Amino acid sequence: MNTFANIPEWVSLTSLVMLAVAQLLALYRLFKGPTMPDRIVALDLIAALCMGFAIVYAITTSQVRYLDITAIVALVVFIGTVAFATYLKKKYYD
Amino acid sequence: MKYIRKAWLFFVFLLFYLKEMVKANVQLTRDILSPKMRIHPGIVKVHINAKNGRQTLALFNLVTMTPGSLCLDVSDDHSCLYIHGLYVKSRDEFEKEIIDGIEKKMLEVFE
Amino acid sequence: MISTIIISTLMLGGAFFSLLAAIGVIRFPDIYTRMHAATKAPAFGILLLQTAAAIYFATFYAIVISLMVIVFIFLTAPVASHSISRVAHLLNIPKWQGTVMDEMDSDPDIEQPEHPKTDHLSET
Repeated sequence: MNTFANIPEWVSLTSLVMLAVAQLLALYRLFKGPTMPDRIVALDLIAALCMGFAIVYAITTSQVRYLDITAIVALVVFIGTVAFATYLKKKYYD
Repeated sequence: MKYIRKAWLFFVFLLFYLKEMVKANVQLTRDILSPKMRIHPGIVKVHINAKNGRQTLALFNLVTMTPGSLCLDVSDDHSCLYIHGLYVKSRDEFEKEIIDGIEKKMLEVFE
Repeated sequence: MISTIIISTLMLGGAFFSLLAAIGVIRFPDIYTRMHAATKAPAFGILLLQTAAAIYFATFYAIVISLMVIVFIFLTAPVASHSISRVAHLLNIPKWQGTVMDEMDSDPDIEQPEHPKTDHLSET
């Protein structure tokens, strides 16, 4: 199990902190966003940041299985974004 | 032989895509981190030469990922794209940039 | 040693571009410019992070998953931004006052709002 490269701790810590700050900023936009499309954009961004978390965590713990999370999140979130937009459009036409 | 040439063209196209991607992100970094916003956003209607759906899709993806432009919509007859640019100085200049720079490269690969 | 440096750089770069996307979403003035930040930067950040993971694990499984996710993200990010911007234009989301031109407004080639300038902006 020790065949992996040895990543310094501060690298993964800094990456996680940066992603956490980004998550907070995106949450701010999600709460404040003046209109509905702003919130959809913020949700999309939050999903991308979650994928980033999963990858950094996979590298930190040397568990390759955590990479599956990124694939699933990518698949689900795309459908979610398009569904949100379609819902707004449908509501507009009614 | 034809397929090898096609694969080579596609590989060159991928490198071009990556280069544009890096350029776009460097530009975005400069924009976001500069204290004063120096952007002139605008929506421009660009007439494209792409003929079939595959070329339109490729151009659509490419325009979204290139620096300072974002594809908003395709017209109903697939002959124009509506592009939101961050630095629209003049309309014709912006259109020329898209047509001559990106679309020409794209049409070489996806003929 | 070399691979440690490469992986560390890729990880920090990916996290930085994700942070940049969030700052851009906060700072940019209207929905279209925000979408510029929220489409390009996270895709690039995920690209860097997945490359880091692929180099770190260096197994067939990790490389395939990474490639799959990268290709999927790069194919779907424009489609997602297209669907959002389309509904934003349909709802008449106000643009920034510094916007130079809008040729999409009252253009006959695409579908236009039926009753323009109403209060569809109000969130529900």
